[in-house]
Amino acid sequence: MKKIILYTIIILLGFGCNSDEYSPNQVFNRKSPSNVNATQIALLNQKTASNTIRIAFSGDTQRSYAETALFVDEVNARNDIDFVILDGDISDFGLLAEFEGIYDIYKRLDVPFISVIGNHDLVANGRAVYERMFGALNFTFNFGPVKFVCHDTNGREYNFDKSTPNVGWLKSNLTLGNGITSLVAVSHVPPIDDDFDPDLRQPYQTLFNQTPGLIASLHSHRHAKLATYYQNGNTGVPFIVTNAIVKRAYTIIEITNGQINAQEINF
Amino acid sequence: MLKKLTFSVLFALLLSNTTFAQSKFWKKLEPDQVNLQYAGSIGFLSVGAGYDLFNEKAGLSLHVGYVPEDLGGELTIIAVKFHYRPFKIPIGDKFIIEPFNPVFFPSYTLGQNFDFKFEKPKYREGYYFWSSALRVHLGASTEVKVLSRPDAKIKALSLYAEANTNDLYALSWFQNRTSTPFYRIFRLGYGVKMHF
Repeated sequence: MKKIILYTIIILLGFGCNSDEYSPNQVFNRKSPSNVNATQIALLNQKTASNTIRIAFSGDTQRSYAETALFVDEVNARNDIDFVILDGDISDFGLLAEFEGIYDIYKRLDVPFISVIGNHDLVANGRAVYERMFGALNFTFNFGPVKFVCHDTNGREYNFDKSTPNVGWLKSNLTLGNGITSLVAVSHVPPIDDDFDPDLRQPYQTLFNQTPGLIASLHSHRHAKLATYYQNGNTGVPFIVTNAIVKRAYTIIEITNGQINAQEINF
Repeated sequence: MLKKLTFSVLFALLLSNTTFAQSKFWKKLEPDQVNLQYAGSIGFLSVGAGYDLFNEKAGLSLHVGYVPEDLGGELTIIAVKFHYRPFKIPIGDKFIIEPFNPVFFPSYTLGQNFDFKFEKPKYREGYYFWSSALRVHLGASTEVKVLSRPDAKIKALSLYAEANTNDLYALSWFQNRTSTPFYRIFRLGYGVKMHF
């Protein structure tokens, strides 16, 4: 009978290996990856940009693990993609288990992937989870002659306190030089959306239109067919809003000699 | 001197009287068991106190858990567990195995990052439909109880392992049920319990 007890304990301990959880809201555990964006940017820097840069751009993986896995298979089946941008709403509830679930699928990509913060990622302890797992909320990276300026535009999560997007940070990072001839802004909520800080909507778009070399601003969040907006009419910087992974869609962004082109792909 | 003595005696009587009353009161409130738990989604460590219900076929307990900053970010969690204990397998007169005790527990995470409800006017009605502070967990535990002498102060000591999932994990699983195995949404915790 002592054997039975011993076996029961061994089975229970064995089953539990690595699935002990302190809280669904914990920021990290023993296995959690960290500094993923820095690692992926380092991988991207090992690659050489050809004349045309091709990016698989989408966001809003949220709870859709099955669709996320299909997307990764789809990108791996192509051989023309330089890198992937996961443009926010990685998680739905801001929980560690969700960020890890999506990371575990994206890490199967054959190309580097860069992850940007979305409004759902700021819920509960999500911000701390994102910062530890991926890195800073506002950051930049270069590929070939293009500088990508990734930033937080989820104004509603800050109660529209005029802090987000951080216009000052943008001004000092939207800079050319050192071989950089084009700028691409990347963020989750587009300025036309109700979740964008209404007081910053005009200054933000005006800044982008006045920034030399800025060729486009990329967004997601709206779970709707790929759409392009302009601040005024049909000229100036295009605000390109992609469809979502949850809708089994992504956008191919092509950049050639400072020209940008976007095309929706459904999978 | 006499005055002093009378006062002392009176004071002693009073004291003993209140202690007596108090002990009776505390006797009633004294929990049937206290426990210490590792993990199990309510803290790195949590302490709990509980009462047996329905002739030890069920139990209700209160738990307070804590996650230290360097083990997952600082968190304080309160949980109330309701256990059902349908099966008891005695092994000799020293052990009782409870192989499957279903458990239900709401947990509440304290702190400014967590809200019972996402508040207006920031969000329109239903913008985020869930509560970030309140989780509802469902699970089951296995417990091995080691009995001591019936007249001992500590009547038994038990070890348990408990698996649980919560409303949001279950929701995510349901959406991905064709691709995610059910067991993947369960998390574990282990504990020791002292029965009085």
